[in-house]
Amino acid sequence: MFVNIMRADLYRFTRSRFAKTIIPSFALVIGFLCLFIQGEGVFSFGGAVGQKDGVALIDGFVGFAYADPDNPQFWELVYSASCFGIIALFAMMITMTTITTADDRSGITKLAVAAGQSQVKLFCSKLVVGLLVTGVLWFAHNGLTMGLVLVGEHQSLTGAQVRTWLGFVTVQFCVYTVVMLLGATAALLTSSRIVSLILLVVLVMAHPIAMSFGGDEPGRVFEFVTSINPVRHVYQISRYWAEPELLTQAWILVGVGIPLLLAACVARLRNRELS
Amino acid sequence: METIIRTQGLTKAYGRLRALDEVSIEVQPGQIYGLVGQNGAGKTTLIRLLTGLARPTSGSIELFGHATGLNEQRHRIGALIDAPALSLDLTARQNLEALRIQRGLAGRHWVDEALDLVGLADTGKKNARAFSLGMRQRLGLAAAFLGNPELLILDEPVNGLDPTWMVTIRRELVRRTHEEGATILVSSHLLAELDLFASWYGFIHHGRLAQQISAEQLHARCERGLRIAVDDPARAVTVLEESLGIRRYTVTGNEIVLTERLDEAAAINAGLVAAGIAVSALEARSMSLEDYFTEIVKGA
Repeated sequence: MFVNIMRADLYRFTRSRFAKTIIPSFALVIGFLCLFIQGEGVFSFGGAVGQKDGVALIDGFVGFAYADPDNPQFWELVYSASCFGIIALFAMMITMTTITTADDRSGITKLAVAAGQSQVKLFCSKLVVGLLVTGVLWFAHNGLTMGLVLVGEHQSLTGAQVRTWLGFVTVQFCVYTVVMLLGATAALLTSSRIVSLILLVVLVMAHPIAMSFGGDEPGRVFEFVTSINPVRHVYQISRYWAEPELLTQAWILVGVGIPLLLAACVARLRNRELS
Repeated sequence: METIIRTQGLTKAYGRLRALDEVSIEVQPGQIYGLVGQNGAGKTTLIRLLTGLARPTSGSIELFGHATGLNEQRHRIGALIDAPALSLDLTARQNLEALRIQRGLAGRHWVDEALDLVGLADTGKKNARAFSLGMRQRLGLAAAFLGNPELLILDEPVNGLDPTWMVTIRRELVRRTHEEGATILVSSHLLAELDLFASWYGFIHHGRLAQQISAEQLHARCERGLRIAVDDPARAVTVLEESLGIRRYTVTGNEIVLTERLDEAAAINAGLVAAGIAVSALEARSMSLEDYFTEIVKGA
């Protein structure tokens, strides 16, 4: 039964050395964020592409860059709280590929298949576990960083702002899921975790490079080709509040990307022979 | 009674290379079927096909009398294939507990029983990473034994085991067939080890099934061989082949050992003498399993 496979995957994962390294890594990230809050530093991976209502529109990740430091705007606080999103992207990708490939590497998948279990179910169970783990980490990370930013800046959020922020974090996670699934698919197709990591590095670097070639009025073909890169949506999603079409594009990516990648995984798993 | 494993014309090709070529075997309930072959002969390929790790190029597989829905039937299998499949970060108990959960086996007694069986019940919090080769192998065997499967498929199960554990595992395998009606397919290149407990043999060579034989028949054949010492072995072999139609023999120096037509010693002697070959000795002798296998391989 699928639920048994998932329970076993969770059992193994929670006792694995990898799971135990997540906690100190998580603490380290939060610690770094605290250093930025205490200091006067600005974290930036990407930059502003314009502004609306006095708030910069960010392409990438920027933290602690307030137009008026004494009166931070809501979206500036959100930027700061999510400024380690690029690090989280790598961490989540590594976590996902580690979870989805661990049993293939240890031979446990072989044992399960020999006992009549479906490769597709085994893989899907790992995807669900990966999403659960990264989801918990993502929301915990964002909750903590937002809390710390608010405390650091002596600010608070209204109920409506909390809902907006939660919506933002959820949309971001959905876009990240496409990237994680892409990494898991690459690892599945190539039997290599390194390939998925290299792919992510390439995609991360490809977006700013492509944008520098695009100019102010990029053509439709250029737009289409660059929009296939899910990392582009990761970069631009933080300004969807000012450019609603970016949210539509993100949902199209999620709605098309996830089924396509899942179909690719299933096709591969149905033909995969284990040696 | 239903046949536990039946393959017909089972073939696995990788490009032009046929790793397994038209192999047809039958394993009956309660048998300990020893799959014998040199490295690369096709034993592991056959096991991979039976366990669903690979798909046949052609031919058919039946498990427990079913040719379709094989994955359902594979729930009745416990397997050890190549190296033991372990989560190295987990203890022996945790490894088995995870497998127990995955297979939906109710009750933790399954884990205790399997650990007791392979002597790993007292390894405590020691991770599998810190286990010796033999301990890992025993844990792999415990995973195969978990839940008392009806069919055990074991690829080189005694690899890395010390002699004491080889005996223990062998006894356990025999006990399972006798007391629980389990069926076992075991591959090994340790023929002397297999000879101690296998009840049926399949000899594989270059991907083909060279012979399928019961242990009784095998022992009967190994007990008898005809050693003939001659002055001109080359000519003697020609006479044996062309005049007497004998094909299964080995030649070492001036000695020829026949493994067929053993009850026709007088006629063979007469035929050689009539051809002008001096026969200085002629006696019945026994063969080891290794000798027999070598014979089979030569004839294949």
